[in-house]
Amino acid sequence: MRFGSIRSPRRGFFLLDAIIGLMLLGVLTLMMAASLRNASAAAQRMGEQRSALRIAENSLTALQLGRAIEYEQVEIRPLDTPPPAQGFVWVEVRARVAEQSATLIGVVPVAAKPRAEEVADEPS
Amino acid sequence: MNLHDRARGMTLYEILMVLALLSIFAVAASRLFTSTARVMRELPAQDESRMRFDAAMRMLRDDAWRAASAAGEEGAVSLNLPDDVHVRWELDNEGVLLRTSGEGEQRWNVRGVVQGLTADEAIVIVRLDGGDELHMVRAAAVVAEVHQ
Repeated sequence: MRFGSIRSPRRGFFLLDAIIGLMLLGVLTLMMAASLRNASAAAQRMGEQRSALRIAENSLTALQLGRAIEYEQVEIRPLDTPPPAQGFVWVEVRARVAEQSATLIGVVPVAAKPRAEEVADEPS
Repeated sequence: MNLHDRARGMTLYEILMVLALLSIFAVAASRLFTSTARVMRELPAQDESRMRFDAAMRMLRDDAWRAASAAGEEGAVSLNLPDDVHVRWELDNEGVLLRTSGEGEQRWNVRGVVQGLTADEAIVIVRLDGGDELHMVRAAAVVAEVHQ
């Protein structure tokens, strides 16, 4: 009986200690997994943001040169701001990639304004 | 004696249980640690590469905007800037973007980001990894478009 009373608490504590230790390790693992997931999501968001910016820049360039806009996820809005020179007009180009968007404002030839309005009217 | 036997049996059972739990944890943790180490190793390099690329593109965009004329061949672009300044941009086989002008030479390592470089009469085209392109317009071409 004396022997059992000494052994029993040690036996119980061994399993309990191990389980508590594993639980702590599990919590740390979950925290690490969460931070890893956050880092991946942030990298993906940044990639989408850069893609949106690239699409906006290429679309503005196309408008400036009277070329066709190759992208569908672009909204173009003429602005009422006075133009910097005769023959130009200010436009706002907004591109969207997934949840991210980028906006550029630039001058384009007046001839591009009707095209800009057409693109702005198209359903996104 | 019975108590002693029970104690030994339970200890073995406990050890097996703990070993099983530890094995499961070790497999999961090793995968996670590998992924974490890879991300931690790659992130600074990616940041640095992105900063180099942005710096190079900022300068190329500025050169392209100011250029009175541009000529492109595969992997290289020649730009004539005001005041008779001639600038040549070239992407070498090592993935290094090289800007040569009268002021000297500048280099940016853009390996794995920029795949090609060319130009037509109006824009400088940078081909990026993944098939995307970056178009940089010349101001003179925009003005010419207005006067057409």
